[in-house]
Amino acid sequence: MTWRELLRRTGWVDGLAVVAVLLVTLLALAAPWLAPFDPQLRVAPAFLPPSASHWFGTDEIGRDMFSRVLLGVQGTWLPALAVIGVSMVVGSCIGLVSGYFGGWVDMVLQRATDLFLILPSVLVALAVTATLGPGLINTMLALMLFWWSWYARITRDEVRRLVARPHFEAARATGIHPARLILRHLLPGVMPALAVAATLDVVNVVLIMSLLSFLGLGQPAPAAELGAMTARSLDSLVAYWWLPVIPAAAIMLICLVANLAGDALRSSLRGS
Amino acid sequence: MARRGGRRDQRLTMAAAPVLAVRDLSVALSRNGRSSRVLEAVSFAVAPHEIVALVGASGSGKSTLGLAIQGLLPRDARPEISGSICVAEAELVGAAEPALRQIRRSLVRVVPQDPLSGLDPTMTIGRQMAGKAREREAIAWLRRTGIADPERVARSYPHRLSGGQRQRVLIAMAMLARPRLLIADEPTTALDVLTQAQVLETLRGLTRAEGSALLFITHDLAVATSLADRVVVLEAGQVVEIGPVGAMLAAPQAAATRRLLAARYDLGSDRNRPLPAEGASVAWPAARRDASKVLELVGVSKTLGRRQVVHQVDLSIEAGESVAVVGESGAGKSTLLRIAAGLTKPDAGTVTRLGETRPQIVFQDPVAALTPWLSVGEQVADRLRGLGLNTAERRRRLGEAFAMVGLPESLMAALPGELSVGQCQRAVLARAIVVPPRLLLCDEPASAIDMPLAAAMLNLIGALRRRLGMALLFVTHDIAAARLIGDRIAVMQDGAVIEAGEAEALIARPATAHTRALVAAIPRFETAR
Amino acid sequence: MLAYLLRRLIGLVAVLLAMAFLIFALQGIIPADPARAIAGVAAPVEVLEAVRDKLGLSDPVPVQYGRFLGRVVQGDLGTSIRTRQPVLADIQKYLPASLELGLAALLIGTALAGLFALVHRRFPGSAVVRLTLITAGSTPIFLTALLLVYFVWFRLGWLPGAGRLSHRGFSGPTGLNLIDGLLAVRPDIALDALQHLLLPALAVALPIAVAVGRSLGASLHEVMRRPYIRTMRGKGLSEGEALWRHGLRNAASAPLAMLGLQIGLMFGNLMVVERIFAWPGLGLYMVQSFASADLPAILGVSLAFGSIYIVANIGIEMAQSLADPRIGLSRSRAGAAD
Repeated sequence: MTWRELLRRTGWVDGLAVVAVLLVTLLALAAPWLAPFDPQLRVAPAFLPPSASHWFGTDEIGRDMFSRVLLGVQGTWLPALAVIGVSMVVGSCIGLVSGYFGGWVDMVLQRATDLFLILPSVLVALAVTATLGPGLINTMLALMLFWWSWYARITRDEVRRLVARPHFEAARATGIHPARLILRHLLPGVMPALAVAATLDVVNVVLIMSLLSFLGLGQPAPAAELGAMTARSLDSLVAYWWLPVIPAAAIMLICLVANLAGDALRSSLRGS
Repeated sequence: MARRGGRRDQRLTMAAAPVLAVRDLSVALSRNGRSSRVLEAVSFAVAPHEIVALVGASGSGKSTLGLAIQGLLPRDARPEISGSICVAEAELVGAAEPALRQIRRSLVRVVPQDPLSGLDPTMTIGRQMAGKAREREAIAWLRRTGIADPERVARSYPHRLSGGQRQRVLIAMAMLARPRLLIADEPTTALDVLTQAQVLETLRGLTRAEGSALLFITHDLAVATSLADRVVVLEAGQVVEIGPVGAMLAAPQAAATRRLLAARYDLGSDRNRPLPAEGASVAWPAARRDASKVLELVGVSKTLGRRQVVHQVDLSIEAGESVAVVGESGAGKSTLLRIAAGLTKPDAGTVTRLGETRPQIVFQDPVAALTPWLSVGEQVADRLRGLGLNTAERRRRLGEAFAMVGLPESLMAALPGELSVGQCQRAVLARAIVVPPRLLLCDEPASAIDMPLAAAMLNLIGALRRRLGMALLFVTHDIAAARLIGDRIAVMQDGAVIEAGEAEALIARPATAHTRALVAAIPRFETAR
Repeated sequence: MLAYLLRRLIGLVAVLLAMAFLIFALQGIIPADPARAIAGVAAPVEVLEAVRDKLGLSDPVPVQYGRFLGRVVQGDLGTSIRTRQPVLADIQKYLPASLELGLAALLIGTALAGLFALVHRRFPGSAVVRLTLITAGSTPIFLTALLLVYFVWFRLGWLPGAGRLSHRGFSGPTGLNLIDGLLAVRPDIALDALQHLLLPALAVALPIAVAVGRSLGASLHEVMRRPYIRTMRGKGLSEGEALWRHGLRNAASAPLAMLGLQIGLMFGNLMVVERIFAWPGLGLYMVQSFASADLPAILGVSLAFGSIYIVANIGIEMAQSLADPRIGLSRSRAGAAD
């Protein structure tokens, strides 16, 4: 299974999901320039319903909701990618070492991974963030502290699976250089599984980060964070339903796109 | 073959309505949205008490036929069926699911191909055979299939049993219903030679005793001829030959049958020339030999877990010599090969190898031995790295290797998945000989593949070792293959070499009971001569 | 099997110790220097040292950890800054409400998961089913809860949208109102409790149902193609029989593991849902503790939830080994089949 094959086999609907993920990323990167109003400033009367000039209406102090949601998407999506990226690099290195060398190295690393895997990640993230103090960096740290273990496990299991396969043994038996053996005969086999896991995992990170934000453990007040925006306007649900619902729906859309892309990757892999 | 003459065949087919009558059966299955014909106008019949072998290479549609006769074609392949399948005069094609279930419950039973995955791992044997109520009956059947302690087996989970035991369980499970027709789909391919012979005998004995007809699906013509009354040869979804065994062996009608026959080898095949699988052949040239030892094992032992897998083995191979190691699975022969290759370190004893080039290994399954995401050319060229060759030289040597194994250079850029099994074989050999080693190690290279491919593989290995002056260590469970390829044969049992000597002499006069059993287990052609 | 259980038990203790150590380490981080906090900013070094010794802060870390464990085992989780009550007393007070909600959610979630898996099997490859499940799996818990409140309570008025009971002052021996109502033969109370329970439990159950249902569906799909299922079909079993007798047991492992994972995520969801439905449980207590940075309460509840989670997961592992007899074997032996 190579990337070439993967792309060839992915249908256009699934391709669309992958494109949508890229689009969300672009949107998040360009959010400050795309936002029509300053998200922190009062620009109109409070509690305006959605209209042509304010697509998502205005909030309880008259800030433009569309601009705030855009910034909120940025503040959710980019940190989630960062958490996944760092966890994947750290985890896959540990997994590669563990799986390739086997023996006692594997034993020790796997017991450590097990420990991090079995601890309830959300609870620990909550406890750690609450202790370190609310904020984006602390939230990310709290997540990364545990998140690598999942990638270490996936990488390790994939490596063990590949190392046990006849083609790896055959390649090793020919006596080629270990670096080439790992880079060409092992790593490309691990990447697809990692990619699928990471794409689906973004959803978990986004959901947990927005949960922390909802519970008041995200960035402090004026910052535009989707979870916190919903939490702050809970009491407005009956009178101004869009205030709590739109930011929450934005989270759902991001997750939906990532989920679809991950599912597409996975099913095209399974087809092989 | 005289004991089952044509007269009896006629009597059977005329006396009673056939147990199975397949008429004009065509089946199309769709894969990845594309529909393709798997069976084309297949017609044949099986009379009561008859044993019919359905022979064909892989991809000939024989397993699809077996599934169709149970009404179990995979639903997600959207099967399109036309024609007729009658089991004991009940029509299967177009029958409703409850009717099909009734037929499967009482009329047609199947012994599946792979005994390891054919049993539910989460349930005891007794329970899944018959449920609680009929456990005693199940135990009685287990005993009849030759299981020594059926009570214990009935209480066990499948993972506690050996492959042979599991296959017997599956036979007992099928015979429990006293079916009119038993279908056995390559029931012995996953088993050892000795177990294979015993299981075949059990199958034959039980179906004869119970009066069930047997449809035996196999790619192995020798097994088919030793077991069956009649043979149906299938190629590319069509019946190309049908008739009594004796007649087919004496005068094969179809080209496919002749190819299958030409590729078949047994203990009587001519070992001085290539097998006639690819047309007539000239005698082998003499191998270049000298007395220097390319490999010398002295007192080698290895323990894996609690089991001593290799025990005090001495073995030496001279330059250009070919040695075949024969034994059942678990005899330690693969571990011995890994020790010879330097992949496994022995616990005791010494290993001496000659030459700087590492011995190369040809593994059992040629498709699985190639990294699926790298092109074949790149994988062969891997071994040319670090030799200080420039690009032009590398390309030339790569081309030479491809030519030597008979692969077109256009396949260099292809991925292993785009190659046929035969082409993968050749690619694996190309990788092994692109920098010719002094010693080539082969681990059952001919056992996971169809007969014609196996014959081609044996021929190619024989040719390459003589041309390149390589010594050969060839590990196999098939003493007929060992005789063809080896100058000498060493027989292993429970980790030790129990007998060794010149190939012909060893087979003609085996010194141990185990070797005699291995020799006796090779199915022979029952030709009409 | 016995050795296996023993090994799992040791694993359980190890994880509990790790969880406790984490909480202990977090306690150590704040406040920056407890001795300084107690002795005052201007206190001289000698006084500071004395306070340290008195608090045991100059002991080596393992000793301090041991002392912490001793306190925890005796039920001393510190005193809440906000309620000024011992954290353990607060937990005892609020746990039953969360337990009722969590158990109801698990029950509903598992039932829905089975339903989803059946739909998945009935319509394999259906884009509508797939999209629906993926959408449900992408919905943040607070959106689910908000939509339920908005439509079912506010728009339709079918079910109450806040609190546990309309009657005040009812209490029973278990603290689970639904069960207490039944025990006290007060069907009105039980019904009222059930009505209050339904919406929040549904909100918590939905992510569980989607995740476990998808896992079960995929696992069944895989298992039902295995050769042994074909053997059973060949014996004349119907699809349904093959699925119930042979498919489900073999497919159980992955969805059970997913259920375990989801229980971990459920604690976070409980906090959100209890906050939205004003459900007076530990989750709401936790949210209020966050707002007032009440660390003893936060860490105490984390330890309680964490312990429940770990025990639940041991239960799940036992269920897995009951479903598949091979799991009880050590990996090396199971893998040694030649």
